[in-house]
This record gives sequence, structure tokens and C-alpha cells, in this order.
Amino acid sequence: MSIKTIKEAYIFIGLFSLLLIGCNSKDTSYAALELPLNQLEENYKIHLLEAVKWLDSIETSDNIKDVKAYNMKARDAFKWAEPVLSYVDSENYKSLNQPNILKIEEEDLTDIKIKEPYGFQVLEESIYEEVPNLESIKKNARLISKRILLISNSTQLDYIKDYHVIWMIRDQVVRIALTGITGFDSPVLERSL
Amino acid sequence: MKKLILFTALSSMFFVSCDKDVATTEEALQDANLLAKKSNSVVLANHSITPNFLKLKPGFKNLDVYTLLSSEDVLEQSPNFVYGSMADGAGLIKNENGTFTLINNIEADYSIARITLDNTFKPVHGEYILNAEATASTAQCSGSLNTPEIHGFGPLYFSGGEWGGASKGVFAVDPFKDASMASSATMLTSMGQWSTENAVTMHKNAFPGQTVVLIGDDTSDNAIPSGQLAMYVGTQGDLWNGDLYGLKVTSAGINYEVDMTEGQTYDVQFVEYEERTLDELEAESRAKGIMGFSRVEDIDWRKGSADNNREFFFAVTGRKRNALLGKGTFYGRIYHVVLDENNPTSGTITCVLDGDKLDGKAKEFHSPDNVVVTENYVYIQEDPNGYPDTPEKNHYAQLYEYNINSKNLKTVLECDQDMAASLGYGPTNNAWEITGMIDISDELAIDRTFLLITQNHGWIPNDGSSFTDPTANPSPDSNEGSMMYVVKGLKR
Repeated sequence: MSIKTIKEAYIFIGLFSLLLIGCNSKDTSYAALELPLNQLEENYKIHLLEAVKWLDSIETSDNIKDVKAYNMKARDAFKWAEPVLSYVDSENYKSLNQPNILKIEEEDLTDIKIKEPYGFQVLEESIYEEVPNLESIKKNARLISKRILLISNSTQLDYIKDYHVIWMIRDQVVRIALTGITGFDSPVLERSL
Repeated sequence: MKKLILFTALSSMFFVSCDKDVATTEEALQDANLLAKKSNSVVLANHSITPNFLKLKPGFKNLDVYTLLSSEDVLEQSPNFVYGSMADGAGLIKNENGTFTLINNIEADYSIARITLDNTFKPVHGEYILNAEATASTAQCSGSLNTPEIHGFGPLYFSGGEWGGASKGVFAVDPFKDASMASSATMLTSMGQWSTENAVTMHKNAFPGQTVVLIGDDTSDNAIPSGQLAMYVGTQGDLWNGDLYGLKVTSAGINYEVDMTEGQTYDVQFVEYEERTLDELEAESRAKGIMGFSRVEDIDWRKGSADNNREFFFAVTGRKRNALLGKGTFYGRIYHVVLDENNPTSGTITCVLDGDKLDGKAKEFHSPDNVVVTENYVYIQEDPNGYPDTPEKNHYAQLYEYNINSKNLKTVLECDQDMAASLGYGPTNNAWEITGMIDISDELAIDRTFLLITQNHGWIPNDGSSFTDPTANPSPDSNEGSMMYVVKGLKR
């Protein structure tokens, strides 16, 4: 079992524990009921900001070996935030974890938009190219960093109910099982599991 | 001070008219405006090097149109500023020193600009207060300015995050924020995730003690109309802890928007949402029977009395797909909602203009998009979606005037892309959009004065580069230019 798998197991256990705390505290005070949700939000933001920190380190680094290390740390932090992020901001999650192919949005016949891909998969592919383009890598890292910062600044989980947490756990179990086994979202390193 | 002069003048006119029993209210207003004009430093004039490409229709030839700013202009105090690609929603503030601050969404550069105009209303400086980094490259579509005098909080500018970068929701921006902080943004998560066209706060007199914000969901769907009209209700000034609702038509037999016929009034309830996230709000809307429209665009409320302030109009731009036949509008509609006096979550809805009625009064409609509502008129701006299926719909983007009282519809003007193309300003096969229109009569103290914007699709710099300011977006996704006008003479 890899370190990654252990970490994902911890996410599962952690979220499940939060769920149990939430469910068991029905008869306690309002303040106690609030606690697990606050913890969830706090932990979520810590992981987001951790990802921002390592992405910003990529931006200030000129050494591809360091860039590779920072990328792994940033992606790990992103993966820790994944269960919550993929639920509370699914569009941004899909953007940050999109495959390295053009995205086409057709609003109507006179309005077809073609968007360049970006995100962690694009970053990974660009870092492990035979001749990596540091400028392009840094630009992508900065875009991801700013996007995650906006998400962190715009997080408000007070509407989250118990069933939302169950959905998060369910989806994360499925995600680990599917993308983990196939290496789906780690195109070069296949470091999904 | 100017308002005081205007008020005094108006009062004087009132007494004069009572004494002499000759002057009508309108004459008194005109005289008062003349008096105000004498002390008004604003001088409406052409300030852009780009020609005027708005062609006035019969009945509106008396309008005065001035070019204010375009993407090829250089502003004297900020020569590097570029008025960017696909300008959209806007809000104007009159400053204490007599100058003006215009906040303007630059949709396709995923940013928001702040333009300063001197006391004559000439643009002199521009900068970006929200850039593509801050918005995560999410298009900023329509926008609205909140002020303490009108909305009970602010000044705070709302902007709709719609497409592109996936941060879909309501952005809130301090209009006077330091431009060096352009990379940082705030989103009002309490108002939910939508493909947000606009968020518009109703007048504080509409529901005293409450802040009611209307949100338009511009979601495109090829099978089921999926754009909702949402409403946030909080205590006055509270933008974080209120409740979120969606418009449901409760009259029997109305399952899809096209089940509503033009001119008929139906009951509505705003049903509370539990969810706040994009997909879940859509699922909850369908489960609860909250109406899905074929792309809700801009919204505006009626000016004047508190009763008026509880009325609002919104545009549905339409979408043409076989699977949407009998469900969503193809060519666009305008709806009129009247809310109950004591309860913002209850009221009635009427489709007042239906572009799908090919022999109806809105038969020329080809994708109405933005609206501005005065006391007696709705001005409707088009963004043609590219299917001019009848001769009446075969035109460039038009501006319409809808009289709320008489229910008449007139065409005010049309983008003259033939002339533009002949002068090298873009092609004729890519229809422009008219948008961003706001009533600036009060700020300028000049009656019947409006600001209007065109997105000049296909117009790019002669050297093939981009009309995008690098401080807004260093990696442009769109190179097209925009243009802003002042239109004087439209009735309010």
C-alpha cells in the first residue's frame, strides 16, 4: 500500500469520523453541533492554502528537480482537499483536474469558445516533458494557485448538512476506486493510487 | 448642491404653474433641467476616435448619440489602458469633487475596469480593479451598483460570473478598491452557484428592512430549459446569512415557460432552496418544480414609487434546439414580475413580449439579452444568437423601447455593421451585441440620458493583435474591441 493510499484512507476515516460526531451530537448544544462543520471548513482551507504555498514555490524556483518536488506536495494537498472541493465547487474542481485537451463551450451558433486546458494534469505533463519549459510551467502553477486562492476566499460551508457529508464520502470512495486504479488524473506519474 | 438647486427650481416651477395655471409638469421639468444645465459642468460630446455605428430608427431620429470610449482610444492620464474585449455590465458614481467613476465589466477579459471621467464627463483614466487571476478567468457578464441611498448598503458592485473559468456565482467588488489589489476577489456564496448573468438588488423601499437580490441563471441546456430566476432575501445589508429561493409558477398547467402565453398573468411563489452548489441547485429546482427558462439574462426593477419598486422585468434570450420545442423560448421573451407588498416570495408573472409569436409585436426579437427599466419604459438590448429565421428577425443587434403602460414596443436603433465593415471595423457576418445600458440621468443631472455599450464582435486591431489590456489578462482569449456611447433623449 502506497503512502498515497494510506493518505486517502485517512481522508475517508477522517470524514467518516466527522460524520459520526455530527450524527451523535443531535442532543447536544447548538455550539457543539457547529463544531464538526467548523473543523471540516478549517481543515479544507488548510489543505487549499497548503497547495497554494507549494504552487507559489514552483513559481519562484528555477530548478526542475525542486519543481517536481513542489508539484508533488501541491498535488497531495489538493488531493486532501478533493472530497470537499469536488462537492462544494464542482466546476472549479473539474477545471483544476481537467485532462490536457482543449475545452470547447458552445453557448449558441454565434458564440463558440475554445479554451486552453490548465490545471494539475497539464502541470504534471509539462514538468515531465523531455525539455521542460519553465516559463510555461510557472504560468500554469500561478493560474492554479490563484484559482485555489479564490476558492479558499469564497468558501462558506454553513449550509452543509449531514447528507452532504455522506455524499462527499460516497463520491470520494468511488473516485479513489476508479481514478486511483486507472491512474486517470495523473497522466505521467500514474500517481493516483 | 446641484440636487438642491434642481429641487428649488422644481418647487419654484410648481408654484409658478399653480399661479399661472399654464405650465404643465413636463414643461416645469424641462425648465428645471435647463436651470440645472446652466450650473452643470457636464458637456456631452464625442470623445472617441471611433465613429458612431448606431443607426437610429424612424421615430427616434431626434436622439443625440455621443461616442464616449472605444478600445482604440488612448486616455490622457493612463495611456496604456485598453478598454478591453466584450465590455458588459456597468455602474456609475458621481464623486464629491464633480468627477465620475464608472465600473465596467470586461467580460471576455474576465475582468472589471474602473474608468474615471472628468467633471465634463470625458473619460480621462482607466485601470483594472479585478483581473483574470482574481476571477479565475471567469467571464464577468452583467453587473449592478449598490448604493446606500438606493439599496441601503454599499457602495458595492455586483458582477455575474458566468462562463469560462468555472467560478460561477456573484462577485462583490468595492468600486474604490486599490487597483494594486486587482488579483483578489470576493464571491457571495450565500447567493448560490449559477451561470450568473447578473445579481440585482431591489430598492430598499420595496421591502423595508430587507435586502432582496434577484439573480439570473444563464444556463444553456439542449433538452430542458435550465435557467432559474433566483432570489436572495436577508435583513437589510446582510449579504451572507439570508435565504435563497427560486421562482416557481404555481398556476395550474404551467410546467414549462412556453406554457405561459403572452399577456396572461400567472401566480408565482419563490420556493426556498436547501442547496447552494451548481448541480445540486439544478437538481433541487427540477425536484421542486422551480421554473427553468431558456437562459435567464438581465434583470431590472421599475423605478418610481415603492409599488413600482416591487416590480421587475427580466429577459430570457432563448435557445433553438428541436428538443426544446414546446419547452423553452427560441427567440427570446421579456417577463414582468409583480411582488406582493408584504412578501417578496409571492407575486405574479406575465410574459409581456414573446419573440416566438412570429406575427406578434415582438416578432423582430432575435435574442433579447440586457434590460434597463425606468419608471415607464423598458429598454431591451439584443445579442443575436445566429438564427434569423424570418425577414423581421434578419437584422443586426437592435435596441427596443417597451412602454410599460401602453404595452407598445418600438425599435430605437440598430448596430450599423455595414457602415462599420466599410470603414474596417469588423465583418458583417458576426453580429455585435448591445449591452450594459444604464440610466445616468440622475448622476449627470441631465434628463433622459443613458449609457450604452456595444461588443463589436470581429473587430480587432489592424495589426492583428488584441484589444486586451495585459493588466486585465496577460493571455487574451478574445481580441475583439468594445465601444461605449451616451444616448440622450430616450424617455424615462
